[in-house]
Amino acid sequence: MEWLQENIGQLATLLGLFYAVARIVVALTPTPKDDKAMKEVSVFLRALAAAFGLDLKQGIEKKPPGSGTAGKSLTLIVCLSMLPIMSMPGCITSDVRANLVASNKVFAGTIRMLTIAVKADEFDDQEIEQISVLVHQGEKILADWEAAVLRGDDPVPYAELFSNVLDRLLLYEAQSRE
Amino acid sequence: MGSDIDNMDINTVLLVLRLVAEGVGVAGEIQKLVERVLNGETITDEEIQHARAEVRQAVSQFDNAVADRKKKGTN
Repeated sequence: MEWLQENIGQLATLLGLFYAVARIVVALTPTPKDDKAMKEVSVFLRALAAAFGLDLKQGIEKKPPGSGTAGKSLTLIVCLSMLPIMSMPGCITSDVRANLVASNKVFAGTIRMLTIAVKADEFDDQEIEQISVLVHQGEKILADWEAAVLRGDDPVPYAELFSNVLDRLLLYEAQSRE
Repeated sequence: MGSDIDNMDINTVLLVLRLVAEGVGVAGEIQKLVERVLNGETITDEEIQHARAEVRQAVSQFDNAVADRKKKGTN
């Protein structure tokens, strides 16, 4: 527990780098469809994949241009990389408010990066329209999520909706860097 | 979307967001947030509202960028 607290910064950096590499690997790797392989993925990993807005069995229904079938493979790679950390008991305390604040900050950061990409003409008109819809959807979901947290209601449904939107926006953001 | 999310520890979402944060430049802020949670600190209503204000500002700047792009396209 102490080790994790002291090294969480470096750990997150390493995992973040792994995430970036995973995107490159996924671009060259076909989506796994093997049911046997899917059964071996634990319930926990499927739940973690959901945080990326991805259902490992059904995949992404609507993908931004350029994302292809990268979602499932990416999720598996990232989830597997996080398994050693998440299996440590009591490693992180629970706080729905912190989760909401973190979601807002990541969303704001993502939109700032997308704004830079828009100014640099990285997207065509259709993509900008799609991104704009997602941006406003995400903003609305965060507002509803905040209201739920302040009321003391269960915020999980909003977190799930938000994950879907954020995942799609991040694919556009990653695409703009390519 | 699967039903597993309903049983997922919300801490998992927080840690996952840290990964994402590395890519969008907010890792330092998220790390401080995680450390405060680990120290048992409470996140205030004002902090939540401030975070949403950041989103509103970012969305406003995005909308302005899109509008400017459209203007350039019609000139």
